Amino acid sequence: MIRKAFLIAFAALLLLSGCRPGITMRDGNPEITTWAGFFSSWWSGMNANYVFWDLDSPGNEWDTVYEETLPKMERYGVIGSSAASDKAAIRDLYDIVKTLKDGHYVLTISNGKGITGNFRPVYCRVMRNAGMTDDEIFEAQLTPSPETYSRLIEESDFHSENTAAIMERVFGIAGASGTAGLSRGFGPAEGGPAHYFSRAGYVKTPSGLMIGEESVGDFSLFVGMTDDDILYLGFSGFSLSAFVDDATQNGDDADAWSLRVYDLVKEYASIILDYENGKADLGGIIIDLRGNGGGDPMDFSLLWSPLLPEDLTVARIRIKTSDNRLSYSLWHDMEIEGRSANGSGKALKLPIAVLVNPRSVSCSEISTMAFMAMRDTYGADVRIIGGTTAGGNGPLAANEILNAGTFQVGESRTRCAGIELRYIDGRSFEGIGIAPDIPVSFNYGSFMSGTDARLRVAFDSIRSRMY
Amino acid sequence: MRKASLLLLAILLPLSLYASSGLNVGIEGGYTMGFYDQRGGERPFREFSMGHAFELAIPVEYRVNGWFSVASGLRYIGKPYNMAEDTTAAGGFDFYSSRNVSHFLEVPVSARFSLGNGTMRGFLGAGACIGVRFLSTESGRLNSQGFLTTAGTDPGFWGASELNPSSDNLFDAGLLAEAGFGCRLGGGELIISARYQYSFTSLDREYQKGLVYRYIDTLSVTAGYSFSIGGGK
Repeated sequence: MIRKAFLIAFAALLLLSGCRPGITMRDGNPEITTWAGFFSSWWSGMNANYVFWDLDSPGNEWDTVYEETLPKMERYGVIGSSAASDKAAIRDLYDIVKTLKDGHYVLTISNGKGITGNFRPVYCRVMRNAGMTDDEIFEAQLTPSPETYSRLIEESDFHSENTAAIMERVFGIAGASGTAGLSRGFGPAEGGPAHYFSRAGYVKTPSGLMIGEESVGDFSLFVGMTDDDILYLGFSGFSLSAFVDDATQNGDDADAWSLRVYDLVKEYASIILDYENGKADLGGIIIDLRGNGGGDPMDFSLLWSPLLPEDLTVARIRIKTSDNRLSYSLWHDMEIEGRSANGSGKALKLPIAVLVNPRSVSCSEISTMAFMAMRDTYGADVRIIGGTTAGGNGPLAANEILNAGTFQVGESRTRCAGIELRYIDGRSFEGIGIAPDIPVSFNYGSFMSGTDARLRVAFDSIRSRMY
Repeated sequence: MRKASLLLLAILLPLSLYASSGLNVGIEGGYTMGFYDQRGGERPFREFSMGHAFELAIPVEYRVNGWFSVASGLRYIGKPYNMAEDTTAAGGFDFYSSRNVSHFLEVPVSARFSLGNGTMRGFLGAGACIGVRFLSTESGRLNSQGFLTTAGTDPGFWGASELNPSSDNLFDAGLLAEAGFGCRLGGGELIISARYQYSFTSLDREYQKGLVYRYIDTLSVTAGYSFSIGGGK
């Protein structure tokens, strides 16, 4: 009797174990022939790899996108069979991604017959703010390569205000902008600090370089001091570590660019170090992140660690832990190493201005958060000045590391962040940007003729706090 | 509401048995192994493995006769699994490893069939259980040095996850099978048992299309001591 009962129970257990659904595997790179096939795979890839679903689909909106879009995609049929259908399908995809929060997001999609879109929500936001219509924004991100913009976007701070333009227009380095001009005019082959900064009213003892080499990409870096000892640092991207690593590991065999960048980084750090050791005066610090497109967070150690008396939590991060949209890990601290002289953090008592604009993105925004954290944690005298940042601060990393982020469906590539990041107080700036403490509007005409209103406000802000 | 009623019913059932005679009540604790089962969503560098946790219970057993009894009670059980995002094998690094535990209060009900004498018995049982997840915790190691930061602070972490009622399934139901051994000791009975619980409810609610269903089954080894408070059967 006992054995019979147990066998019945065991059989029931086995039978009921079949109640779980079967295992469904997502085809990582299926053969795509139809728009419906592409859409289904891409939509599933987004489920699994996109990390901002808590912001973009808090009420399950992403399922609604599927239900509304799939029937349309089924009507568009085979990819490449009709230019009109292909363009309509690509337009539908644009309409889906244009409002996504991820500031790193790019959907590259093509019909294989000349219609290609590179859709970036952050560009959509900037173009919309510049006054472009939805149709214009769509067309601007369609086939032409390089992408074309309307005059509205060309004259925006997003497009015009960056390190190279500041060096050329504001500091008076003729012919600096444009790759040819950069490599021709300010390659390290000329060596030493550049002496061409005619508008010395902004900065004295300027040191800078601009690189336009294909092997390196466009890169600009500027370090200067004013007559009243305000340190200015501006740079186009967080790629300093690569240069410094090359310089420190290869010595004289390193690229000339690397050696020069290393010199400038050392110069910047020594100004702070000398001040903290009482060997030199320093009245304030301006960090110019306008147009800075981000890069490698390892640069934080080179740039911000000399300011910090101890390791500082500047943001919180979390990752996906399954392919479900809302499966997240705990929030974890993202820290920057503290390495100020004698652990004093003396430089944080100085007035600091951080200049930002809508092209300040990724590591630029995390750096802005770092300065906000210095203010919130240590009471540092920090002002954020300029225009609202891009709103793309979730770190990018290889899909293999995070099992999230950038993925491929057929020939289409979706670039997206693999880590969700928020400020230490829990606020998310993804898709929103960091609003400055002191907003200063951008005037294209004035800027191009050499008047940098935002830099002026930064200097005024520093000086008003110095005296 | 329906789930709450079921839970209430399950709690009242052992209490109604308590009102009868032949009742044993005790305390029990043990070690729990968790087996994670994910129905899809496999990634080459995201690995899941067996987790370790523990459980505590107030078991109640109603001895209908010498060979048949109904067991129930109130149990806390941690259902664990481990996860690692590790690309070391492909030349990368061990980015993330975590030990996840979903903490449940549950009510099991099982039919036990015993064989033995007044001093010793062996038993086999089968039944079901329902429970409520009241907490999820995660501990482990985030290796972000050299990747996101140069700071060399402790990569270890521990914390409670925020349970999202719209996406996290807070209700659990499943089947159980158990085997054990009991012997009279003092005025009560020492019971050593092993129990396998098979869950029917995914860790996630049906909040999205294409959901990857995720389950934690458990194998527990427990020891307990119970004493008769009823008719002394």
